Amino acid sequence: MKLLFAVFLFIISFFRVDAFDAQGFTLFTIDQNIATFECASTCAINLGDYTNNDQVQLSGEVVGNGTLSLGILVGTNVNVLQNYNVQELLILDENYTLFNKNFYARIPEGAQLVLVFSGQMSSQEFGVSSHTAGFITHITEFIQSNEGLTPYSINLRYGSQLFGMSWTQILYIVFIVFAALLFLLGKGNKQNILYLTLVLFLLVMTKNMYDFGRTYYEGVQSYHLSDTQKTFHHMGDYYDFTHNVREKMGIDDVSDPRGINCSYYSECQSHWPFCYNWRTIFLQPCQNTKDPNEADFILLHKKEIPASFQSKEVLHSQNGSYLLKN
Amino acid sequence: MWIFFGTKYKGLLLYIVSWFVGLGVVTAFFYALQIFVFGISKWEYFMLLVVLILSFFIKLFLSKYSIKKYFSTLCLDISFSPIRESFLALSRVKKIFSLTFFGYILVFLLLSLLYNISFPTYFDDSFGNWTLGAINMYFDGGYRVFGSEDEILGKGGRTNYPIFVSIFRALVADFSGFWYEIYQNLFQYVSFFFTVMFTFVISFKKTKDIFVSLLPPFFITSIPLVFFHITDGYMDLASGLYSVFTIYFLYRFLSKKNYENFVLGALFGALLIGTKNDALVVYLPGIVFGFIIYLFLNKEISDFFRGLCTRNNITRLGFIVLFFLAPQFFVRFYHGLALNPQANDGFENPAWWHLEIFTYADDIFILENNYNLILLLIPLLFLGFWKGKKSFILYSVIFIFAIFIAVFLFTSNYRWVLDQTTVNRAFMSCFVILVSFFALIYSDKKQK
Repeated sequence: MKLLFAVFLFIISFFRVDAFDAQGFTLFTIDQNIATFECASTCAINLGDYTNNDQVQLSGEVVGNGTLSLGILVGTNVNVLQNYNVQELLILDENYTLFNKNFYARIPEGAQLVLVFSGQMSSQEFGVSSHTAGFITHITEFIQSNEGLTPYSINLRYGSQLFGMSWTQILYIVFIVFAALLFLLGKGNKQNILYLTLVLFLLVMTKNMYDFGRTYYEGVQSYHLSDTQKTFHHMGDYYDFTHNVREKMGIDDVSDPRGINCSYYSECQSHWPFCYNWRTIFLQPCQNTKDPNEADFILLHKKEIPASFQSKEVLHSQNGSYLLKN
Repeated sequence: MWIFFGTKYKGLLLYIVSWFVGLGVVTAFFYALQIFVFGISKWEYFMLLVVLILSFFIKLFLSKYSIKKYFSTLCLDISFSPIRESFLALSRVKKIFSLTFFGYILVFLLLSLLYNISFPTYFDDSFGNWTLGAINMYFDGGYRVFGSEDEILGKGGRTNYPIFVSIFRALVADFSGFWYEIYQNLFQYVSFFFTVMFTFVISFKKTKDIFVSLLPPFFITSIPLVFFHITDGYMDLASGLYSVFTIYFLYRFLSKKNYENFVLGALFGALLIGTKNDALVVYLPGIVFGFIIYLFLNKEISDFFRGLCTRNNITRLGFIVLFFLAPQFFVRFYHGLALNPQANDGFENPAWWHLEIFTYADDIFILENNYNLILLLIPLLFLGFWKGKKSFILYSVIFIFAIFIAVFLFTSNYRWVLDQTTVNRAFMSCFVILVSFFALIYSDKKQK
């Protein structure tokens, strides 16, 4: 059934979706995928059903200040796939494919793909389109997909996909079909089935070697960059911010930091890996507390300072992240 | 190895086994030492070395062998002729497969080594469970057994996890004079490298077929999750590797009824407990059940105990229990250390079983690329055994799988299936154990 669905997608991949639902804009017009808009605080564009639109193209200039987020709307929550920070001017030419973001466990069917604007932004010619990627795009994206770089590489939960299907699932189907043929044509000879198994293993292993090699190369490239450039596991400026925060909190002041006694409250754009790694690794021995009133410090990663914290002293701010003294 | 097993093991097998046994002896020694004397450093290590050398010379004096006979076990004696002859006897298709497997294995080992030496510990669990404890022991110069529970490792290390690997890392840091994570993290790679070599050696020794012998190392390296677990600092893979050695030497004992193999298998079982708590709950019970079932089905239980109850065997097993196991259990009991506290943390669903875990089976085993196409191997291995052929290896693997499923099904650990933070790597170790013995199981089946 899924194979038929994949063929159907291939056929309709030549057609593109034009009109989108838009909310919250003070001005929004769109013609042939070119939008003109003005957003004062929070606005959103519905790009259509996530399962039918696995490629999003964004282009043009956005002026203002804020964040542009591409995500999947699940209930009332947006699972952010990609963030773009707008600081005065952002020039976009993005061709974003969603193949690697199909977390098998749990995005429901029918979830909507959305583009959320947070802040004061506008554009005269903003190109936006969502559609099903073409055949060649599917193939090239599959080859380039690299599950090793996901944060969950202790468990490979994303999986490379081909036409929306797990590639290992496809190979299992291939095995069943060809093993049956070999068994019948070979009159019960099992050795050919063993060879078929080995060939399929080798196919997967070849892709894995490519993935592992790329994982190593990209990890080395980003890990040995300066903190401001580091994108190991796509952390953005997290390391640089953490480095500065450790200095301000006094964790790096002593040669053996285990004598330090401090606490902090944190909020992050996503708990994993940012707040999680602060709690478990990078801000130890400072303890994380869930009560902001008890904490010595307040940490906000890519989050605006809420009204209740406005009176607190800002010890450090960096690209929309803040360290406050309680 | 010489002290306990004399000249029984030699050549490449001796070197490989010595890495694990030596590491285990050193770390168990330091673990036990901390009960009496505070200190983990190179000076205590040299003291242990002196004791071991003296013990060996006492044994030499009391035994009939000359030292030359012991040194002869160190000769590698690697002869490529049997490998060459086996290769030349293969069909063209099998020659191509064999060369391809060999190439892939080499590339995998090189890539995983490069990855291992390029990045420090990244994942919070591996840092908190094993690295942080080692850092604390290195900076403190030891760990305090008596005192508050926090002082066992102090300041953040998770005290309920076995600390043998952490002790080894602290010692390596002491020898090098500084903390450098990449040196410390090489433990996993070296252990993995030796295990891959071991699976080839034992397979070729049994089958004399290069094609079949390359299958276990090829299948192990073809499991994608293995690559990351060589490098990520978790101990699931290490538990699987120690299980391989435990099962192998018990298998060898069951084949030849040589109690040296049984004692060595028991020793690896004791070392296995020092890797991760899962060993005590899952791996070792699975292996023990498999062993008992095999003896029962072959009606060999009374013969086994009769052969076991000799002064030599009882002495060696008693030493294993006293030296490797007793200190661990004492510290656990003294501090009331739980085996699985994280599972009960915030546990809210009191249902006695959780069938919902099975809804994730297709995600874990088929859709996600954790294990390559591993399910295809299972019929190949089990085919032919339904007629009653007995296999200790298969019994052990089946029990290990079954215990893991029971743990996820009947305890609060079901949550780690729903969010897939533990289950994938747990079964990775099971598959590593299974494919390590692919050649042995395959040849046993053929000899039926």
